[in-house]
Amino acid sequence: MLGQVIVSGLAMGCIYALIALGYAYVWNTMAIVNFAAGEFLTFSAFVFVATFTTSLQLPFWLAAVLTAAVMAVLGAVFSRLVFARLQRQKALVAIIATVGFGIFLKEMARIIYGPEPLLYTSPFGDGVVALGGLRVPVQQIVIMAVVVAVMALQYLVLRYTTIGKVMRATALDRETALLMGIPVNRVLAGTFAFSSVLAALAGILLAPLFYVTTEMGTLVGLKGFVAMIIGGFGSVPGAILGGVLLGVAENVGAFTISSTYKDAIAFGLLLVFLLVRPQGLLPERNADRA
Amino acid sequence: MTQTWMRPAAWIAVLAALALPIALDLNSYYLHVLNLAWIFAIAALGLQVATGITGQIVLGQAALVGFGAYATALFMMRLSLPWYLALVAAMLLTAAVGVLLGAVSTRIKGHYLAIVTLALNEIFRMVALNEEWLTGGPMGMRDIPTLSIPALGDTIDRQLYFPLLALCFAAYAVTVFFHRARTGRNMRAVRDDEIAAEAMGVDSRRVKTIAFVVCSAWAALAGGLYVLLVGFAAPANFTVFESIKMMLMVVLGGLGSIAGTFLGAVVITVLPEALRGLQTYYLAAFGIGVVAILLLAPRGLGVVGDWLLGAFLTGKREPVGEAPAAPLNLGAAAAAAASALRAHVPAPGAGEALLRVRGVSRSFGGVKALNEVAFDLQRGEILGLIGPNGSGKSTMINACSGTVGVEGSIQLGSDRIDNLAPWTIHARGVSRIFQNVRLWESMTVLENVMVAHRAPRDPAGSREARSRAAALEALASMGVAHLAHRRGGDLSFGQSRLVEMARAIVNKPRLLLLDEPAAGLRGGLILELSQILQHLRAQGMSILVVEHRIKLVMNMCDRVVVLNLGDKIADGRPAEVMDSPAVIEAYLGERIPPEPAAPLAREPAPA
Repeated sequence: MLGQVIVSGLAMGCIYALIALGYAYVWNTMAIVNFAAGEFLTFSAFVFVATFTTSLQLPFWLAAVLTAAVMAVLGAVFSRLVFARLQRQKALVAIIATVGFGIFLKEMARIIYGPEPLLYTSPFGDGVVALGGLRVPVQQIVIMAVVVAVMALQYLVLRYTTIGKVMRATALDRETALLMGIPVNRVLAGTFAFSSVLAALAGILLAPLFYVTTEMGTLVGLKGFVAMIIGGFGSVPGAILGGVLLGVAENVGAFTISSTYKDAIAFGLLLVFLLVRPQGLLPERNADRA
Repeated sequence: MTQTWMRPAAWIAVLAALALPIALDLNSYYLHVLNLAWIFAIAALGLQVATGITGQIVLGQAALVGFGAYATALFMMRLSLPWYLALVAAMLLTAAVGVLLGAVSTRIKGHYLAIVTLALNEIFRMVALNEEWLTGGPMGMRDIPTLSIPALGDTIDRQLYFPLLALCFAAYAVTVFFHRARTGRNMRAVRDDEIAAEAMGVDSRRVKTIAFVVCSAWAALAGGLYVLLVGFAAPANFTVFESIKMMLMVVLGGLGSIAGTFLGAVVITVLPEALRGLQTYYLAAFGIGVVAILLLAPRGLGVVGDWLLGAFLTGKREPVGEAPAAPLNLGAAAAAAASALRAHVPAPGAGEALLRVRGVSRSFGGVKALNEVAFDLQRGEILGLIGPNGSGKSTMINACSGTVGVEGSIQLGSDRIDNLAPWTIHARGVSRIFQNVRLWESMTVLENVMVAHRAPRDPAGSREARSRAAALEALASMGVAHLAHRRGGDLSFGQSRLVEMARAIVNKPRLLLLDEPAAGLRGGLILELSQILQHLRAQGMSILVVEHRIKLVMNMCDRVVVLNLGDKIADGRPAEVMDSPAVIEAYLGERIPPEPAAPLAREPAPA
């Protein structure tokens, strides 16, 4: 039974890792924390389920790709209009502004798609695969496979191109980066678009597990942030490790301690980490020391 | 321009508008909405103190309101306390929670504090939802006895309208009073620049704790009044969303503006009711409104609110002389210093060390910024600390002021001061300026200097008045008294530098640490600065000064310590030190051995 609990924790952890990765990328280029990340997830789940799947009757793959594309464009636009302007502001202002933007996005989802929760059944069915002694739902296997593929892809890009350095240079000093010939605006918009695509993936993968509601992303977004703190603020490998760890710890904690307080486990873990190991498991050198 | 009659007239208009709903006998639903607005205004005020004024972000104010609400209800229903005792007890209990939050905030800052307060709000909601034996679960607590004052009207909303408004005004009045006094100045200093505040004697832990206590107490008052008005408390009333709504009130009112908070709370509470037809859109509009206000009009409604408060907010402003014809008044100050010098005979190096630095080391990551540095500073001495860039000079200053911790020992007189809190070191008579000027930009020049002043705690006379007088005197001695009522952020770099000097000397410290005081001053002023330092020394201050300009160092220092890559490489009289081969090498690089073969090689000129 515990094995089962751990596997479904791993699947949820992969979702947290996606969101945490988005936080890390945005932090590394814009030096802000996007508290609206969960609402990006919510919004993309609605776009995926209501617009592309239900209204347009598109097949799963096409709907998923189009959702990612729409979110990438929205991300780039929002970055240009709002988020890129926040880097120059105090952390306090940036935090409140992104929280406000999250409300805007959540309410837009409600205005456009209505308050009713949407049900979405997985195109992979609700079958179960026997792996060793464990019975693992197909949807969880899909989640893990997709997330592992995304992680590998972004690792290869960071490893074999200079994108990572360009991003960090942009975060550290935008003016100097511009003078050195870095197309700063495109870097910012691109990073934000990428983090929006990550949120879109998380939304698409979560849609069959949860009802699609305007609240579905809020807690996932916050826990993704907790995962990044646990892993190490701004650290890419840390975000992945923190996400997976948080997913498993949460499930095991809910199983062994209390399922009523499942959502509190992540925050309890956060407090412990902030007091005992505030730099996280795999600390980043340019982390936020504020 | 503001005419003198305009502000009182505006006040009369505001007070009349507030009395109007009762005078017009508005229906009880509208009165209810207004009553909620007064209650929210109190809760938002607490949030403004913690977030807007002290800079500690709290995204869980609704949980504190809820805590106060449940506590009031429980005290009344389980312990049968009368409502006023229950309310006060709930405020005290919630204030205790504020003390804990204050302790948390000294270790957890910025983004971490935001997520932690948000998490605590979520945990509060879960506990209220699940611990039915205490909180009544999802249905909450019902049938809590409400207040009734039959003399004031027939419905409860009519009865409580003026009492709630009066309590709200009282809370605002108390907050405004403290905002302009020492407590409020310290809070704003911590918000604008925490490191500078600590180095200038502000105990940031204490200030943050006070901020969180005020935040919690006002939240609990609001929560208790809510319960007394509506008669129930349920988890759904105190969600993260409510916290964010209160944050909207604070942002709309303008971060840091007390009167703006009231206006923000009224708008955010009343507008949705006034625009009920647009219910679907107003939350989205608020969300994007916050972003727009923060980016485009950060002062929000505070523009109106602060104008209304006027002199209540700033205190009376005494006239401070006209600006001198020259851009800075340093010339006059230097002349005064020179004449004072003729009277005093400075006595440098009386043979007694004021500052004794022994074996001080500090590394950042793999870089050793200081390596076993040792030197003495004699009483009444001006000691120069020089060295190439990255040699550890600023780290040494930071170590002496407590801004960074070090290994080794630093003694002031007979006491160890290494690794003490910066405010403790400041209280022992050590003051400093920073390499890149660090004024508190939103505060006036006068307030900047008053924060640093430590008035003795004797009962006679007002500490506030004495701080004011001392600050004006310090500003005058630097020739910048005419800037007293300007905002710190509006000054030129040279002016800020002089204000920072005034801030550093306002307590007449025993030891003054100056990190490149001449940076940003134009040529002529630099030599005048040297005279000012002589004058300060004549007043009994010993000075440790980091400086790059060799001419200035030769001119003003009695002795010089030279650092290179964290090591002390020379220590002695300026002229001797400048001739030391190690120093020449550190500054100019190694001597190139003469190469007769190269026809174009020239002997490097001796420095």
